[in-house]
Formats: sequence, C-alpha cells, structure tokens
Amino acid sequence: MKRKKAIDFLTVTLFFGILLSFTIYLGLGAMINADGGVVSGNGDRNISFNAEFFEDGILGDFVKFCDYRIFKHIDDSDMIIGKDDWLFEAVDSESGYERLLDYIGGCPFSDEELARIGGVISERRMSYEEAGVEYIMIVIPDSMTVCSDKVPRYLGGQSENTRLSALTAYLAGEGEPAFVNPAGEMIAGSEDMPMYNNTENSINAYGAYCIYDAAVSRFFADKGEEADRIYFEDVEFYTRVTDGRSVAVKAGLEKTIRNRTVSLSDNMPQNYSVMSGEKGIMLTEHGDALSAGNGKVVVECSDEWVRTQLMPYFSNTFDKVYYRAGISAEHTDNLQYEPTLVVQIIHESELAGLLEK
Amino acid sequence: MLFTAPAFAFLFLPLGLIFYMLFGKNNKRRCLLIICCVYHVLLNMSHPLNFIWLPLIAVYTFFARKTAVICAKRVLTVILCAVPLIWLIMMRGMHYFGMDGFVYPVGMTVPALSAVSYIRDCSEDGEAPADFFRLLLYLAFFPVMILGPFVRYRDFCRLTEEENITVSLSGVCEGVKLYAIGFIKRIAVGAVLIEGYQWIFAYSWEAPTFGIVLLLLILVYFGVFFSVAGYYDMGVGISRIFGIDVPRVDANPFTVATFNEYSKTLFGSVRIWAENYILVPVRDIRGKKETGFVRVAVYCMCIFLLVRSQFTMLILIIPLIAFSIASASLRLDKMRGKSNAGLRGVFGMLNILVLGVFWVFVTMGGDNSVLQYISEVTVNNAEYQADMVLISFSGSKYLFVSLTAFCTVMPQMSSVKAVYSRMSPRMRAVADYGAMFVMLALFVFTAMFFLPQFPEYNTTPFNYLII
Repeated sequence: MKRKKAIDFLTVTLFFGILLSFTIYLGLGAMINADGGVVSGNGDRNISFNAEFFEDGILGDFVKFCDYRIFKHIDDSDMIIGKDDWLFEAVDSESGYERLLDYIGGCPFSDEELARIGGVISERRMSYEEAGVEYIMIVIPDSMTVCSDKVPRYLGGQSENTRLSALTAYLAGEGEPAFVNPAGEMIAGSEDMPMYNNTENSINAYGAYCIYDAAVSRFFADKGEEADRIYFEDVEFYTRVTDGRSVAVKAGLEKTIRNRTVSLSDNMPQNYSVMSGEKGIMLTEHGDALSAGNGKVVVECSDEWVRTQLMPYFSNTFDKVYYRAGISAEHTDNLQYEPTLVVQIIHESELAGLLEK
Repeated sequence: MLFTAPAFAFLFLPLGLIFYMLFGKNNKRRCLLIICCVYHVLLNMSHPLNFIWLPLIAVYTFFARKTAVICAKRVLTVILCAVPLIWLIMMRGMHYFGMDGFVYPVGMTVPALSAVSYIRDCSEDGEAPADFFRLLLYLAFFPVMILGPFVRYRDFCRLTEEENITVSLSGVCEGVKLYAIGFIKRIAVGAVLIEGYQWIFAYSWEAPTFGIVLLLLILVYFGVFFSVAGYYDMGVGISRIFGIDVPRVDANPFTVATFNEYSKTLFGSVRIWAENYILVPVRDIRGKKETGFVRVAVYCMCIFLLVRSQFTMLILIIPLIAFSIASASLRLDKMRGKSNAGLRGVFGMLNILVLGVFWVFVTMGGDNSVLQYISEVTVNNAEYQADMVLISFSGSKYLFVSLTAFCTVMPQMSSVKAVYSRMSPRMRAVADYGAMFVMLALFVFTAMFFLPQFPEYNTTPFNYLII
C-alpha cells in the first residue's frame, strides 16, 4: 500500500512538474514576445502561448536533430538519407528532374530520343569542325551516380538503364567522339577522396579536376604526356568542413549535418587575370608566356558553382578562357572568340533539355 | 484548444487543477462548471460566434424537457429529441458545403447527443434531477465533450454528486496516467501513422500498387484506432484528475477481430446512445425486440453519420453488415480465450482491411474517388513507388512508433496482467517504477519531439472527421 502511494505521489509530482516546466518556459517566452510585439495573435493569450510552442526555435532544432540523428529520418519524402551523412534529393528541387526514377531506370530515353540527342551533338560537332574548332560535350554525373556506394542499400544498385548510361552506350555505338561521360573515372577516383559535397548535388575542387582532366585528356590526346596542362600531381587538395549546404538547408539540417568538401590548396598558382566581359561572359587571360600556344577556349556551363570550380584549371592551362553562362545552341555565338576548343558542360539532370534544342 | 494543444496541456490543465483544489473544496460542481465554461470560451476564442451554441442548446434542452413533461406525449418527445440532431446535421451540412464565414463549432456532437439523453432521461422516468446548472455542466463537461465517452445524463448526475466527486491521490494518478497515455497514443502514434498514410497517398494517387494499398489500409486502420483511443483515454483521464470517475474505454487494436468488437471498442459511446435512444424507444413502441441485422444496421448508420454525415457513407453499411453477420454466425465474438485463435486471427486481418477501406473512404470525402483509386491498382512502376515508401519509412521512426504503440496497449493485455499478478512484491515494485518512468519519458518525448510537428491538432481533433 505504501509502495503504491509512493508511486502515485511520484507520478503525479513528476507529471505536474513536467507540465509546469513547460508552462514556465513557454509562458516566459510568450510574455517576452507579447511585450515586444512579436506575436501576431490578436492579443489572444491562448493563441500566443500555442504559437510560442510551435515557433520555438530550440524545440524546432530539437525535432530536426532527433529526427535525423536518432531516427535517421527526414520529414520530407524527397530527401534520401545516405550513408555517412550523405543527402540526396529524389527529385531535383530546381529542374524537377526525377533523379530517383532515373537512378532505378524508370524513365529511360526511347530509341527515337537517343537518336535525336545524338543528332544534336553530332550536328554541333560538325559545325565546329567546319570552322576548325574542337568541340566537347562533357556531362557532370549526379552525385547519386558517382557516389552510389553512399546511396542507402534499400534502394539497390544503380540501374544499367539510366538515361546517362543509355546515352553513353548509344553514342559510343555511333562512334560520336564529342560526348564525354567521365562517370567511370570519377567513380574510380572517388575511392581516394570524395568528388561531391555530401549535402549538395555539386562537385568539389577534386570533382572539378576530374571534369577538367576528362576534357583536356580528350583535347590533348595526340600530345600525350607532353601536353602543357595540369596533372594530378601538380595539385594539392585539402578537406574542410562547413555548415550543411543546399539539400541540408532545405531539410533544415544545416547545423546538424556538416558538409565535407575538398578544396584546392592555397599553393595552387593563379597565373591568370579575371575580367568581366559583355553579356555576363567572364574572361580569364593567362599571364605566363610559357603557356602560350594552348589557344583560346570557350567553356559553357549553366552552373556558376561549376564554373568557379573549373576556373583554376582551365584558366591556368589556356591562354584565354571565355566562361559563358548557359549552353548556346548556335556555334556562331562562340566562333567570334576564335577558340581552338569549345567545351559545353551539362549536368546529368539536364540531358532531357537536349531534346528541346 | 483541444487536449493536445500546448495551451491546454501546459497552461489550462495545471492551472485549472490548482484552481479546483483551491476553491472547489466544498463546492466542486460549481467550480467544475466555471472551469468548463472557461474551457468553452478558450475553445471558441478564434470564432467567438460559436460561443452561443452551447448555451442555446442548454436553454432549448431545459425547456424541451419541461414541454415534454407537461404535454406527456411520446410523439412530441420524439420531435423534441430530434431537434438537436437536426441542428447537428444542419451544422455539418453547412460545413461540408463550405458556407462562407461559417466555422463548424468543434465538440458539438457529444452535447447534441447528450441533449437527447437529458430530454428523455428526465421526461420518461423522472429519475434524474432536472436542474439547469447540472444540465449546463453535463453539456459543457469538457473532458468528454470532444469525442466522449458518452455518459448518460442519469449516470452523469450520479457521478457528479458532491459526495461522489473525490479528488484523491490514487484517482489523480490514474487520471494522469490515462491522460499521458492518451496523449502519446494520439500524437506519437495516431498522428504519425496518419501522416505516413497521407504521404503515401500523395505520391501513389495514380496507379497504386497492391503493396501500397495494403500499407495504406494498415496505416489508416491503426492511425484512426490510436487517435480515437487516445482521445478517449485523455477524456477519461482528465475527468479522473478532476475527481469524476467516468468509465474507462479499453481499446486495444490487437485484440479486435470483428466489426462488432471494433465498434464496441472505438464507438461504444455511439452504440450506447443508439441502444438507449433509438432501439429501446422503438422496441417499446413495437413491443418486440429487433433482429440482430437491424441492430447492426442502426449501429453502423449512427457511427457512419457520426464520423461523416454524408449519405454516400451509407453505401458502406452493406459490406460491413455482411462482415458483421459472417463473424456473428461463426460466433467469433464469443471465442475469446478459446482455442480457435487462428480463425479470429484471420478475421482480425480481414477486419483491418475492411475497416481500412472504410476509413480510406472517409478520408476521401465519401465520394466515388475511392472506387476510381482502387480501379487503378496496378503492378507497373512498382519499384519506384516501393522506393518512395522506403524513403518515407526509412530509419527507425516508425519502428519507435510501433514500439510506443505496443507500450501504450501493453497494460491492457491479459497476458501482461497475468505475468504481473504472478510477480513477487519486489519485482512488482520494479515493474511499477519502470512503467512510470517509461510513461513519463515517452510523454516528455512526445511533447518535445512529436507535438511540435502537428500544430493542426490544436484546433482539429481529427483530420478527416467532423466531431
């Protein structure tokens, strides 16, 4: 009997202690906010008390922290939690591209679409060839493609029928030399260091090097190792940790999940000057006379982040590099710069856009 | 300000109890009436026009009873009893048709049903006292006002006699436990499962697969079960905190195998009301007992109209009655504890599916879109849908929710009770302390982690039901 009373007493005391702790915590907040005129309620103490609870930043952070750290769950079905704090988006929040559907091979290109895209690329290549310009279209694979080892096991491996792999196979079969898919090299290279930010579908400095390497290897194929370009041994990278990036921000987890990125060391020389040109074109001019001879390059990419990451490599290699935002369909747009090479860089998520060209 | 609103749990409940303890020593009923009126004001604060409904019902009910007694005509009593119900149907109709500026007054269903109870109980047998303030307390008694459990007026009068209102440590503790468990059931289990159901529904609207449909039915079945059971527990718990011994509703979804058991467990209040105020009067007039088929049909109709007053809902009565008759003919309701657990298990699974379809029908507004949805079930694109489900249900959140659900119903399980009774006193003490700490820890976690994710339940008791 005594034991039951003790338990009853303890239960009631602790329960009301818990309730009153909340009362004091939220009540004080509600009073402070009401005095400061922060609460949008119409003077209704009841509403402002509830608002104080649901808008409480500490509680909100606690919810997100517990959801992610304890339950490995995010309150957004478009977010995929990968291994080692990797985050992926099932659907691209900017373009609407259904990344997961493509990952499992659920939205492949039809034969007719493959032929159309192949036709677009061949047409561009031939237009540039007529003007004596080399043309390369390089695809930056999605982080889910390259870092598929970080994708949760329950989603299974990547399908062999993704748009990118199907297009690569089709163009290889057609003998199209302009199309470069560096996914294989990137997967092999990412065993040493990650090539993508773990909280954003974007490449880091090391990933950018791989893109550069894929492009210039094709361009300097006939020169072999004598080419005056940047080799992996010339570059130093270091890993740094920052707040979570766009996908983590979207999930409200930028403080909980840290972004691990690979950056270029400060030892990397910057032998070029940057100038802003017309129509948002950025021009870099090499300052080292020794490098003269690699010619002029036009680098087209719709992603400003990628352009920034690629600049130290391309600009340190070529005499003049014109960085254009977006992909131009007409080759005459670029010929005015008298380039020796035109590099168009597109994301895996933008492949379907080639059908509209 | 419903029972899961922070303003209720962390402000109204503790302050209300302090007020009750301080001033209600010699006049608990009056004190309780003041608290109920304050609750009513706070509940309708954002829509002040809705203040008037409860006093209007009280005044009408009081004079309707007087009229019924004076005229002493059975037909008139029936008409007077029908008025609150017609009023309720009108209010719901205005809500369904989205009348401009009209906001449905939450928690008006039980007072409307209670008004019928008052008119009949006071006019027919005269056993219950016809006191206006007692009536007002009966209609405005907030712990059972939202969903129930429904208490007949004569029973309410007995429970609220000054000498029967006992605020004891064990009573308050019992109330606290029920409130905490109900809170956990409603928010940490019911709300999370219904949210999962909504997510899956959102991205499988076109061409759902069989697996998805099965998962939907299970989620909606358990989601609704725990939501409703949680409300009952909270209502009974709050009543007991204030010293009123409202009978407890033991709702365990894992022991329900037939529609009869389901409706008794979750909608026992409606069944009691239908029995006392529809079947018994009709029985008296006809002079003979109705058939089981009619009884089930009346129960079904009352439950359907309670959860969604739309006549398309009545279509579902036919399969449910058929299911109910099948389980009755196999005498499944009486098989509890006997060896035929296998058949009960099979019917339990069927029960989940049949009632799951019913709840999907309710959530879709009771129209034909559910038939369209089912007709589009396919096996195409199954991998993508399965992946989306896996993304939503990845991690251990739903595992935790399942464990929490199990913890909340565990004390009601007969096997657990049997094990407890065989324990030594020391082990029982350990079990009691353990259970207390687990319950309080779950309550705190629910309040801090789950509650902030569901602000809609401040003002809406259920997402799809109009109560």
